[in-house]
Amino acid sequence: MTDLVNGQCLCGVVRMQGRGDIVLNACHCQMCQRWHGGPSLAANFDDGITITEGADSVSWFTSSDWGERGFCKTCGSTLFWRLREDPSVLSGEAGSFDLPKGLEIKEHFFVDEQPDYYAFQGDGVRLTGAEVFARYGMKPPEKTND
Amino acid sequence: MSQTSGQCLCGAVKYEGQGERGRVHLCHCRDCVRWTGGPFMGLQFSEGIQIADPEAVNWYQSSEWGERGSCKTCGTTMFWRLQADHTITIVTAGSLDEKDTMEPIEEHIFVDHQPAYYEFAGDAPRVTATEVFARLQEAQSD
Repeated sequence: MTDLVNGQCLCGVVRMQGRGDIVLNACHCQMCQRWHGGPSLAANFDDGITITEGADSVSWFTSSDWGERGFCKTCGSTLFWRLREDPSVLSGEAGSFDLPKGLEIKEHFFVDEQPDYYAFQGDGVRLTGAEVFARYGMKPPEKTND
Repeated sequence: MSQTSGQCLCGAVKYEGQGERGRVHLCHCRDCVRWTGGPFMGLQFSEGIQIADPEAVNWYQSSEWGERGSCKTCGTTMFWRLQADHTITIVTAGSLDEKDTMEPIEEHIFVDHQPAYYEFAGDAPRVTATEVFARLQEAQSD
């Protein structure tokens, strides 16, 4: 039996549960910086995340050809990222969950887009955007002026 | 690129900072971490900000004294402001258009509330919740 981990947005309208082993990754890409106000600290659960309350209160914004971002309509908490072609590929944010102790950031994505004003401690693997796209067999998007 | 302009992910909320751009402060309190998904990285402009289309912002009252502003369209977590005085508005560092000239983190607050799964590099002062509230009380009595 896997442990359940509860989560919620700031106002509590949206509630979720994660199941299975947890992997935390940081994403430093420009889109995550804009959306969260800083890097994303994503929480991935081996057996997935279920939105248990307030699914109707989650608004989904299409942020790229492949991904959507979900936030609470009431308090604005930035909560989820999911793959458009397979919404079961759903990651949450570490901050939403009441996580058990002993976790650390495993990998840092898009470190080539990371601004200089912050740096994390820890020896989590650092991957560039090109390395992330290569791993998932994706073609990097055309560079825009953002 | 302007050092004072910023916007949300979709561009519906745009703002212009007035006066000098301050340095980045991180808040590790439970509310900030719940709201943004991680620590709140924010900075202030010495004379506040002008939001181009205020109607595009959703304001949520998160405490007796503060409210949090996000984009109604894309959900970007963007502003924290004092209810009693909107000239005290903090913008997220990530919403700034130009980040290359930003100086290192100046301070961490609510570090006793900080989750154990991350730690920042650098020797910026670490301030506890008790110290923050004591500082606010002192400011009010001035």
